[in-house]
Amino acid sequence: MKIHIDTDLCSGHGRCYTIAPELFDADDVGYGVVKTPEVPDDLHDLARRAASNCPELAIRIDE
Amino acid sequence: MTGPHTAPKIFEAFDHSSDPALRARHFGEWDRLREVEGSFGSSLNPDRTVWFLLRYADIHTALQDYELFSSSSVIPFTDEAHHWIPEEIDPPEHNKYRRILNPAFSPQVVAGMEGAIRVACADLIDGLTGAAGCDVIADFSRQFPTRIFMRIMGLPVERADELLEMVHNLMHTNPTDDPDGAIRGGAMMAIYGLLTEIFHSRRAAPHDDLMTTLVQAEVDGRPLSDDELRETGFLLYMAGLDTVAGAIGYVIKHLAENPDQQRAVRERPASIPAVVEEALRMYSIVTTSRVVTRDVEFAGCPMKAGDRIVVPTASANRDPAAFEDATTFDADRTVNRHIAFGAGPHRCLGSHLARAELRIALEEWHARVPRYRLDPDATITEHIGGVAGLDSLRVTWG
Ligand code: HEM
Ligand code: SF4
Repeated sequence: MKIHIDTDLCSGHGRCYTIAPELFDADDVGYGVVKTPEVPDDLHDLARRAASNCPELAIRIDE
Repeated sequence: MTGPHTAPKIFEAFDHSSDPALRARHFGEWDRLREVEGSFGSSLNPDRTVWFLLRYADIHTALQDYELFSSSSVIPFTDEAHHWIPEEIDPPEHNKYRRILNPAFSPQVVAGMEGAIRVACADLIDGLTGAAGCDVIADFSRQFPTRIFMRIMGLPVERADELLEMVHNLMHTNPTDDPDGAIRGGAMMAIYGLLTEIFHSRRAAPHDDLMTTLVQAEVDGRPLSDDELRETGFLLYMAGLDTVAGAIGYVIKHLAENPDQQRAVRERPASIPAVVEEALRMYSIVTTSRVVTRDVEFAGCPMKAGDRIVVPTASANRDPAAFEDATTFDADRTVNRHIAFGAGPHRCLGSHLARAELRIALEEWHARVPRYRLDPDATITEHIGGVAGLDSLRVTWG
């Protein structure tokens, strides 16, 4: 599984790095960045959960 | 998403800030309007139609589409021109100002303020437990964010009460009580006056505060003008104080009315971030507005350039099409795309700070006050406008 943030859509709500700090990080002003682009098996659910809490629908998951 | 294929109704004199049903039933009335109307217009202003969008999907799309819906005015019914920064600036200009402001409100900076926020909060609450109860709004929820905000801005903390009064007059006076706008206009001038005073003093003697950052900042290689400084300071003011105050009021009211959930929060402080998130969704306080930039049919409404849209985040966030059991308070929900902090480029600058303040408020409150419930002798009234909130919230201990 791969995760990707569309930087045009991300407006820095910070849900991703709050819910899944293993996978996402904040840049220096709070926009989301992917920390672990290749998601390990045991974190697939967490990745889906982060994506389903992004208010901008900015997180894309390629299964 | 478009609504049912019937023409939306036009109500003659609808204004959300004075509508009697909304003032009486608030969130429930947004739910009813969404279900019955989906979208509707108001012809209160003869020169344009003000369209109310009530579905999550429509509001979400509208907030993201800044080209179709401009932020050049967020006041829907009157023709006041404020040029509030960054709220009333469209991209790409918008980003020039957000760039200046974002660092002061980043998650990292907020994390560094955690200790100071907690101390300010605990101090206030410790002053309240001696009596039989308190007014959560006057004694706590308005005081707390004000102290933090004044510290960030570099405003004189001893003038907190004066500032609160100005903001209150500005935000909670509705057109019925203030037909010629004298109260609101006076409050705005008073705030502009104070801000100008402080900007001048920071230019002469820089401090470590946001007012100094602003006087030293540049856009397009030039410093901000006095007008821009006032427009920015003023907007921060309006956005930063009353919002957190309103949100704290609603979540404490909810917990006062739901003793089981109150107990759970007290026993499991680790659940508080989820409770904050769900309260933000269920009791969203901001109703913002946009200017329609071209003729278009949107959400079933035949919009003309120059019309306005009004988008209540409360209505979006309680839409059963977007949330399971939308009107149930469920802190354990795993999918929560609420837009209490807006969506698109104008996403709330202070959202990380607001979330921290709300979390710390609930942590310190429940660590310090005994069991509480609504005072049965008090009536609760609300104000609804750009920012909603309770006018007072009397609780008693025990
Ligand atoms: C629970 C508390 C809060 C809520 C629910 C809230 C909600 C919102 C919403 C919905 C918007 C978008 C408005 C629009 O699109 O027209 C917004 C914008 C804004 N908020 Fe907040 N806010 C809160 C607290 C704060 C705080 C503490 C600050 C700190 C200064 C703040 C500063 C701002 C600013 C400056 C904007 C304009 C951003 C822009 O236009 O780019 N807010 N807020
Ligand atoms: S949750 Fe979405 S909008 Fe928020 S920081 Fe993450 S990717 Fe960006």
